[in-house]
Parts: sequence; structure tokens; C-alpha cells
Amino acid sequence: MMKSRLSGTIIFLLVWLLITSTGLISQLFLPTPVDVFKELFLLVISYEILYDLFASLWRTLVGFFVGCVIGVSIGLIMGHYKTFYETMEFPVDFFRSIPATALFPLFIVIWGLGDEVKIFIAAWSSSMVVLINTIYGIRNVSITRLMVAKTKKASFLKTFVKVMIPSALPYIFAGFRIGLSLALVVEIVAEMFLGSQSGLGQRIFNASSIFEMEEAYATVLVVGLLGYFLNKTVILIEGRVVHWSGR
Amino acid sequence: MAYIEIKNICKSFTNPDNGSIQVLDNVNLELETGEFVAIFGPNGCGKTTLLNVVAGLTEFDNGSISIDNKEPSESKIGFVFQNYSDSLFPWLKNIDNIAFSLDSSEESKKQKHHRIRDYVKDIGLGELPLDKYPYQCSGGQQQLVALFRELIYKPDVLLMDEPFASLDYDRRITQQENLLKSWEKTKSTILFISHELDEAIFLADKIILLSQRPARIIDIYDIDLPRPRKIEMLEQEDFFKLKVPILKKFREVISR
Repeated sequence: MMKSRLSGTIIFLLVWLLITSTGLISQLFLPTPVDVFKELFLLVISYEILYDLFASLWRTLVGFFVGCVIGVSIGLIMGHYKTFYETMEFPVDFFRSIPATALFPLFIVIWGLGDEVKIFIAAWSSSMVVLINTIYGIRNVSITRLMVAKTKKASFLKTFVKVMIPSALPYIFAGFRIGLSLALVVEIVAEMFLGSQSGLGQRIFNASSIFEMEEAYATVLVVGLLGYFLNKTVILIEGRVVHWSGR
Repeated sequence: MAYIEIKNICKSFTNPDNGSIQVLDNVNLELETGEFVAIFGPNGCGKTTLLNVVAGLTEFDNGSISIDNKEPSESKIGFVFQNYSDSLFPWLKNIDNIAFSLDSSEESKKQKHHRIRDYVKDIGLGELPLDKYPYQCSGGQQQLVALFRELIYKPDVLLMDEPFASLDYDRRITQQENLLKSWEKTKSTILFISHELDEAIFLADKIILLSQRPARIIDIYDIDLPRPRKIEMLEQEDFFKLKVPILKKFREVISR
């Protein structure tokens, strides 16, 4: 496993080295990995990129957290109350179908151009995914388990907390996983196109607009690594919390 | 008045495609306290519906049910489902699965756990991994957890819906013996659905033979084999003397 993961990384770097050093792609647009890693090293030791990394990470996580709270709470109600589901189905599906990026102008009007709008965009995108997964989770509670609660005359609260929510948790966690990746993507995009004082997206945008391609790609690498580790973290927590899933 | 009285129960399901299907046709049944009654009948005849009706999980059209002079909704119902692993909560350890039956207000979690351990030891069906999760246990162990969850609830009636149907023959025999042992200790009143005649005879005091859908009671057979029952009884002549008339009648029922 470790071995094949390592060889995958090496192949990727070799292909990159090959197409850039042979001039297949001009180094003006895609620098060699050696140059990019050299730049990355400089950016890291000067702390410059770390500052942007934390700015992006912070906004992504706050937005994601808000999105999860909203998505889970509305999802639980929509999953359980049919009339509420029917009322909300169209608005939810409608807004879910619009790419968050298309709503940037509207969001700016509401939230301005500071941190709030970027946090809001991450919250918006992740809440949609979490919401849908929570609804599915609640709706897929096993009928047998509900009958167990019913024959034991369990109160609604006990049934909801001890049977329905745990049943839905594997679905909810799948929503968290997708939602967090999405939050990071829209966060980076928002930083690139809404203008920002900090953040990895802002750095990519600024560097590429003045043709500092080494810096742009070094930042892209950092974004990729950040996404990778965020995903791994959720999977790790998921395995601990919903330990019964898939068994 | 009998302990459990089921009188003139009828039940139809309405189905948008082909109108209404009658499932139960005037079912009358009496159970004495501590009695083990098995319901035997052809596949799809409405056995599970009958059990769900007694459990108060399904409404019935007319007739009446009383359990110890109470409505089913006011009685304590134990229910062991056919799909035992789907009836357990995989996010709870076995001991907490069993504790689900205990009313939360009266005791602390620690007291409940203590009581459960004592209870399981007292019934004496061997070691049960109470601190493991259901998915870490064998099918037989999961089945026992599901059974203990109902027994500790001390139900007015214990309903069992083909609980051993998905087990291999050797495991099934073990579980049947386990069930009888715990029944003799707890003196529960049991209504047990079986699609296996040998199982029904081996376990029960009485066998109710149902017709094809809509289910009517064809006949009631008393099983006077001595207790405690031993698995060797399945090989003896007395067993066959009881089995032959039921099987004959059953073949008549399914050839109609």
C-alpha cells in the first residue's frame, strides 16, 4: 500500500519533469518540479505561504462547521417530517442546482468583500451536501429497528436520539467528507475571484497574473496537500465514530 | 377468561393496484399464562401479520385482543424478529443493546449493566460477549442478545417471528434448546411463528395450523411431549405420532 502510493507519486513527478524539461510544455507556463519545489521551500521558510495556508484553512473550517450545523439540523427535520420535506424540497433542490460561484455577486451584496462572504460561501456549499445526506440517512432508518423502539414504548425523543440519529450517522459522515472538499474548493475560488488580503487562492491569482509561475504552482501543490489531509482527517474520525458502518 | 384472548380478528390490506387483500379471516386464539404456542402455516399466509397485530404494530379491522385484560397498546410486548442482526443496534455494545429495554429513568447505567450481567449469568446459556459490538459476534450470539433484550423486559407476551429461520441446522438446534432453557426459567408466555413443523413440535405446548391466505385457524394440536424436551425426542416414535396428523392436514391445506 505504502509502496504503491510512493511509486504513484514518483511517476507523477517524473512525467511532470519529462514534459517540462523536454520543452513539450513551455516552462513559461509550467515550470519544472525542481523549480517549483525550490520556490515552495523559500515560501515555507519565509512563513509567507504558511500565513496564507492558515487563512484559507481557518475560513474553510469555520464555513464548513457552520454549514454542518445548518445542514444537519434542517436535514434531521426534513428527513423526519414529510410535510416539511415537501415544502422545502423545491427551494433546496433549486439552490442546490446553482453553482455557488454563480451566486458570488449576490453574496457580495449581502456580505461585502471581507472574511464573512468567504466563510459564508464555504458554509453554503457544504451545508447543501450535508443536508441532502442527512435527509437520506433519516429516511433510511431500518423499519425493524423502529419497531423495536415502538414495542419498547420508547418516547419520540429516545427513538430519535438513540435509533434514528445513529442510523443516519454513516450517511451524515459521507456528507461531511464531500462537504469539506467542496468547502475548500469554493473557498479557494472565492479568494481568487472576490479579491482577498490573504489565502492560497489569492496567492495563486496574484502570482499567475504577474507570471510568477513557480510561486503559483507551489501554492497549487499546497492546496492539493491541504485537501488531501483534510479528507484523510475526516475519514479517520469517520472510522472512529461510525465504527459499525459497512460491517 | 384466558390470559390472552384473540377474538374474531380480521385484517385486510388495501393495495392501489388490485384493491383489497384479506390476510386474516376471523382468527380466534387463547393462550394461558406461561404457555408456549407455535403458529404453523403455509408461506405467505399471514403469520407475520397476525403477530404484528398482537404486538400492536399493525391495526386490525375488527375483533378484539386482550392481554391480561389489557389492550395490546397497554401491554408489555416482547418481539424477536426474524432478521435479528437488523433488529440490533450496531452502534451499541451488546450490553447496551439489552439495556435499551430497561426504562431509563429508574436506574443508573451502572446499575442496569450490573443487573444485565447477573441476569445473563442466571439464565445460564454460557458466556456471552456483552462488551463487544454485535458485528464482532457470531450469528448465534447476536440472536441471544436479541433474545435477552426481550427477556429482561419481562414482557406480558413474547412474540417470535421465525427467529431461527436464517440459521444453519446445527446452530438452530442449539438455539432451540437455549430458548427452551430460558423459557423454563422465565416462565414467559410465548407466541412463536415457525415454518418448520419439527421445530414447532419440539418447542411448543400447542400448535395452531393456519390455512392459506386469508389465514383461518384449521386446527389446534396439543403437544404432550414431556418437558424438559431433549433433542433426542425428534427421533422417537411419540414425536412421529404427533407429527403425522399435522403434516397430513398441512398437505391438504397447501393442495387446496
